[in-house]
Amino acid sequence: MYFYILRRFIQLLVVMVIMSVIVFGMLRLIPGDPATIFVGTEGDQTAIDSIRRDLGLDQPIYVQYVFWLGRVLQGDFGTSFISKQPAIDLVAAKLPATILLTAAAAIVGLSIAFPVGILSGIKPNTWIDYLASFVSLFGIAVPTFWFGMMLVLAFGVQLKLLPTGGYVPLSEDGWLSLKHLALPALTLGLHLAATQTRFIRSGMIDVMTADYIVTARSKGLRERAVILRHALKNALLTVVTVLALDIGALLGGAIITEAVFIWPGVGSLLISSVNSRDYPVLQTVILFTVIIYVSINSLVDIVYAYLDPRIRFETR
Amino acid sequence: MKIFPKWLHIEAARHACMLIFLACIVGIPLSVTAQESSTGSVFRLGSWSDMTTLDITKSNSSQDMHAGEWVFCRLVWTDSTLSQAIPQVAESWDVSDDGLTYVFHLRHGVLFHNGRELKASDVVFSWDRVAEIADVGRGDENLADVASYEATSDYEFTVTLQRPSPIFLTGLSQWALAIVPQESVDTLETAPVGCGPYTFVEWIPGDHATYRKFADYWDKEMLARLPDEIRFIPVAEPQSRLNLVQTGQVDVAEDIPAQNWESIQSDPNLHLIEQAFSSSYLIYIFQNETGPTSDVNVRRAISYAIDRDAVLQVALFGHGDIDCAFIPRGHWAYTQFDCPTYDPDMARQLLADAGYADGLSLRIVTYEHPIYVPAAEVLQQNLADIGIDAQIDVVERAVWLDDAWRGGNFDITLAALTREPDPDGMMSSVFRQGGGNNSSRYYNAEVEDLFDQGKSTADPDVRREIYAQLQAILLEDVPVAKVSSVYRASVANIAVEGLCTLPQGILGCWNTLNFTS
Repeated sequence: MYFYILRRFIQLLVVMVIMSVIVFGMLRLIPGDPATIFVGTEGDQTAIDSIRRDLGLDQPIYVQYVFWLGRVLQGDFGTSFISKQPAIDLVAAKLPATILLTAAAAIVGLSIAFPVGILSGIKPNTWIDYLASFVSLFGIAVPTFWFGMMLVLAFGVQLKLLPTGGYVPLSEDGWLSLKHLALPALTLGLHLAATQTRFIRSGMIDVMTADYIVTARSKGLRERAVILRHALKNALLTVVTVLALDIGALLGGAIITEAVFIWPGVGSLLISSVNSRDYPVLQTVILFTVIIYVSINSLVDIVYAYLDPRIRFETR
Repeated sequence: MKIFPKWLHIEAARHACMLIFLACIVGIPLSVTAQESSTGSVFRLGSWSDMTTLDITKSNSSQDMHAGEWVFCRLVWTDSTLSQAIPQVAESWDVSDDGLTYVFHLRHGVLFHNGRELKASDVVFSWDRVAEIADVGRGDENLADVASYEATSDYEFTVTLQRPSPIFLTGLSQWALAIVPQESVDTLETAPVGCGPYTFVEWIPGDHATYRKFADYWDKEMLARLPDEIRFIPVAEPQSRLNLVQTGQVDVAEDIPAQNWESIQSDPNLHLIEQAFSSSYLIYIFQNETGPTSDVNVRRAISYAIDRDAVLQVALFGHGDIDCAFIPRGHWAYTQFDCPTYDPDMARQLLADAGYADGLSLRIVTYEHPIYVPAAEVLQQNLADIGIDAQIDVVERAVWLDDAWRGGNFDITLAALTREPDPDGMMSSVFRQGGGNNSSRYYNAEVEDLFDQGKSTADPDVRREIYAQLQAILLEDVPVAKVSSVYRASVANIAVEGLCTLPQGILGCWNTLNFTS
C-alpha cells in the first residue's frame, strides 16, 4: 500500500512536469498577447515592446520556461501581469468560494441522487423509474446557464426571495452566505444529481440480480440491509469514479455557473486570466487543477480497494 | 475483545472519514478571517469589467478611471460634456493675453493619503514622470502643446505653451495626469497613494475592490455627500448586472444595453444615467491595403449596400443618429455630411465596374460584442443582396486585437471609436498613416497634408473648412463606412444622484456624486 501511494506520488510529479510544459507552450502559442491586450486598440508598437520587456516576454519560450520552473520549485508561482499580486495568492483567495460551492453542490446532488437512484434501480421499469429517468435526462439535457438564469429570474428578480448573485463568506454572515449559496448550489447540484442518478440506477440494476443478493435474501436479511449493505456498496464502484471526476471538475471551477451567479471562484479567475492572457495566473490555476484531479483519482483508487477487497495494489 | 461486530468498525471508520472530510470542506471557508466589517454608507458599483491596473498613470482602460478619480487628484475636474474645467487642486488660474502662459494657484492644505501636503513640486514630479512613461501611459498626449513648466512657488505652478490651445485646460483632467507623491511612486501598482477623496483598501481581482473615504480630504462639502465606502464589483454579464441593481444588491449597474432602457424607465426604483451627447460612433472598417476591399469601388459599393436604418434598429435598438460626418453634430467644427442612401442597384453597378459582376467572398472579423455581432449580421444580409458572400468570424477579443486590428487579417471589421474633443484628435489616429487607430491601413497624401494644415492654425473658421475638405475626401475614399453615434447608459437606484455618463460612454461626474443612504 505504501509503495502504491509512493508510486502514485511519483506519477503525480511526472504528470505535473509534462502538463507544465504543455500548458506553458500552449499558452504562448495561442494567438493573443498580454501586452496588446493591455494597451488596447490605441497603443503603438513601442508601448507593446516596452510592456513585453517588463513582463519578460521578449525572451525565448524555453528561457521563460526554465526561469518559471526554477521559481516554482522555490514556491514562487509568479506575479499576475494585471494586478501585480502573487498568482498563488489569487488562486488561494478564490478557493474558499469554490470549495464551498463544490461541497454544497455535492451535498445537494447526492442527497437527491442516492434515494432516487436506489429507488429506480430496485424497481426498474416502474412508473417511479420512468419519472426518475425523465427528470434526470432533463437535468442532463438542460444547460446549466439557462437553468441558472431561470432560477435567478424566478427566485431573485420576481419573488425577491434570494440574492441574484454574489458570494458572502460563511464566516462573515452565515445566513446571508447560505442565501447566496442556494441558487448556484441548486443549479450545479441538480446537474450533478442527474448524472449520478443514472449511474446509481444502472449499478443497482446490475447488482440486484447477482447471486450474493439472492444469498443475502435467502439467509433472511431484511430488504433494507440487503440493499444498503450488500447491493449499494457494490454498485458504488462506478459511481465513485464519476463522482470524483465531477468534483474534480467543480473544484477546477464551474466557469459558466460562476459567471451567471457572479461567484468569485476559480472558474471566474480562469476565464478572466484567459481573456487577459495573464500567463502566471493561468499556469497556477491549471497546475492546481491538475493536482486536484490526480490526487482525487489516486484517492478513488484507494477507495476502490476498500469497496472491493478483490482489488489489490501489488507492485510487480 | 470484540465488542462490536466487524462491519460496525468499518461503518464507524467510514463515518469518521466522512466527518473529517466534511469538517475540512466547511472549515476552509470558515477559517478565512472575516473582513473588517464596514460601517456607514457603502456605495456598490457593478462594473462591466475588472480593473487592469491600480497605477492610473499607466492605464489604457476606462475601467481603471473610476478608481483613478476616487484615489487621485488632478489640477482640474471637468463637467459632464468635457468642455469646462472645474477647480480641483488648482483653486484658480490666470491665463496670459496671448494664451501661452497659465499660472495655476494651488490650494493650501491638500494632503496625500500619507499625510504630506501637496506642493507645486509634486505637480512637476508627476509631469516629469508622464514623459518618462510616455511609451505606456496616455498623459503625454494632453501635454503635447506644453513648452515648459515649473513650480514658481510652493503653491504656484506655471506652464508655457508652444501655441494657444483651446483644449489644454480641460485636458488636464485626463486621468493619466494624476498627481502622485514621489515617495510612494514605486507602490502605485499595488498600494496606490493619492490625494483624492478615497483611500485604497484592497483589490481582490475578479471579486471586488474597496475604497474608504479619506477624512482629511480638503473639500468638506463634497466629503459630506459622499458614501463612506465604495465597493467596485466586476460583473461581466449585462443581465446579471441588471438583476443586481433591480434587486438592490448594487447601487449602480454600469453600461446596460439599450434593449433594456425602456423597462428601466418604467421602474420607479431605478433611473438611467444618460449621456449629454455621445462622442463614440460605429464604423465598418475595410482593409484598404490588400484583398478585394483595397479597391475603392468595392468599398463604395458596400457603403451603398448598407441599410443603415436596419443596423440602427437591430444593433443599437434605435438609439442613435445616422450621420456620416466624423465630427459630432453641435461641435464647432461640424459640417453636415449625409450618408450614402441605401441603394443596392447602385452597389451592384459599382461592383460590376470593379470587375466583380459575378460576386465575391469577404471575411468579416469581430469579437463577441452586443453591438458588433448583430451589426455584422445585418451587413452580411446586405452584402448577400448585392452578390457578396460574406463569412462572419467571431473570435476572442485578444485574438481580434492581435490578428485583425493590428495584424490586418480581415476584409471588414467593426469598431465603436471614441472621439477626443479636438478635430485633429478625433480623426488623425484613425486616418493618418501610422495612427494608433488606423486599422484600415488607409493612406492618402492629400489627407495627410490637410491634417498638417489643420494643426498649423488656430482660426476655427479656417480649421472647420480644412476638416470639411478632409471629410469630403474620406467619404469619397471610404476607408471606413460610418453608421451612427453609439449611446451608452448606466442604471442606478434612486438614492444615487449626481452621476453622469461622459461623452465617451464612461460613468463619470464623481465630483458631484450625492449618496449617503
